[in-house]
Amino acid sequence: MTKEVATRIALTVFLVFHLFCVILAPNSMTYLGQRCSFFVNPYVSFLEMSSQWGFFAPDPGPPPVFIEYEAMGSNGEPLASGYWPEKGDPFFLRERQNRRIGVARFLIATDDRIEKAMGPYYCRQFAKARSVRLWKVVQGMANLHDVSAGKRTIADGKGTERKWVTQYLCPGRS
Amino acid sequence: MERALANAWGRRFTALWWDWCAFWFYSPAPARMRLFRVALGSMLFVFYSIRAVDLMLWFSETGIMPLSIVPDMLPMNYRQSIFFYLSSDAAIWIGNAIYLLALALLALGIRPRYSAGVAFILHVSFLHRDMVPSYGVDMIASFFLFYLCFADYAEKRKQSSGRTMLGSMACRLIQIQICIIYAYSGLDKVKGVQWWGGEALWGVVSNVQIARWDFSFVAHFPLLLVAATYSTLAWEIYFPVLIWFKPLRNFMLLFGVALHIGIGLVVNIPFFASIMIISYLVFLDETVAARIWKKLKQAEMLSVIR
Repeated sequence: MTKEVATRIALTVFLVFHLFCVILAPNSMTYLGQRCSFFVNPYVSFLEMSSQWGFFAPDPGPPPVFIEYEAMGSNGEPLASGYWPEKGDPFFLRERQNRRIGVARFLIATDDRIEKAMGPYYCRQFAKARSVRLWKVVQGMANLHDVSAGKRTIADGKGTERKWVTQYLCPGRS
Repeated sequence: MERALANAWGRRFTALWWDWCAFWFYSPAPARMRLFRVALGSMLFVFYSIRAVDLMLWFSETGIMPLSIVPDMLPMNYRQSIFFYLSSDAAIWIGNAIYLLALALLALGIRPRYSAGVAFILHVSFLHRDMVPSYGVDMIASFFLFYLCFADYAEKRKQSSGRTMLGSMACRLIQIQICIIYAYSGLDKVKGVQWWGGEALWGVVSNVQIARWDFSFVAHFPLLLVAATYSTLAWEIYFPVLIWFKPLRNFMLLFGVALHIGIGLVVNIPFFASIMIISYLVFLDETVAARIWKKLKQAEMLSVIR
């Protein structure tokens, strides 16, 4: 066997393995995906090739979401309040806001995530805060028919839901 | 009879093997890969320079995701990061500086395979340190940087050399990867009620958190929305097949460019649009790519690029 043939065979083995993994990884919850997870998962996770590729799918993403916070002082007085991400377009470089929106979309899925990430973060941000109150806000979206009939506008915010998450006590400040 | 059958199957297998080898290992594309490398390296350099403005917010212990809560957010099995072991702010800043330097060297073509390797390791390390703020561009960049570790840019090299074969394979892997992305993205959309109903794009343009402008006026052209929704769906689903038919290739690519420019304008994610359009460079005809490269090299500003 020449060196060239050996190279071709070695590369073919790699290709078959690699393509099998990256094609299966986005569909890992299927029967085949579960059966092969013992070798697919380590490979695609280690190299970070486990993306689902569901851009705007199966339906376009969630409506506008925010995490509302209120930092409370020692006597229960509000020290600061605001939203994550900030409303509107606060940065000159829009990419900075895109990542913040991505974080909000990820955290909003469970109250536990919001508490674990945002509670300690805002405690660090506001040195005098004793606790941080957190809500999740899901802004309502106008449907096509209502807007075309003139009943609503895109940005009217009707149907917005604000749900209580927790009051996080800042460690060592009680 | 049996021998004749065996010979026939043997010939078929041999032909198939040669087709496989010709596709993967003997389709060198140095000009295409050079254009792709320069464009991708430059774009990622700008993209991650912007991320660096918030570096401490995303990756520092005082930021939003200290190391202790990372496993609570996402399963970290098999995910490794240099920054699990070097977690100080200084290490994060130095890591980011080396990452940006590697991307710049990649774009300039200075030790491009090593640069891609360093960039890939640091890219994955940053991703695994905090996966939460990552999105499409970061995920696609993982694949492209990995494939660029194998790329070859030399024009005059023996076809049978290992480096040429690896280079050819890298280009094909990028092409196939783009097809995988569109196939999954398109087929996943078919599961969506809004895509079936033809109103999915309304769900995008009416989302004030991601839309660039107020698109209320679009509601008065519902048929336009429906047409755009279905054509996006059809194009994504058929891209992985039709891109391989030469007469249709330019149409598929031009439609893709228009689509991604449209998404970039409407949704305010210009870097996602950019990385997808840049990826089309690997589908260019090699002679066209060589001509573009030659023209670029004539420009004084770009003469430093190798």
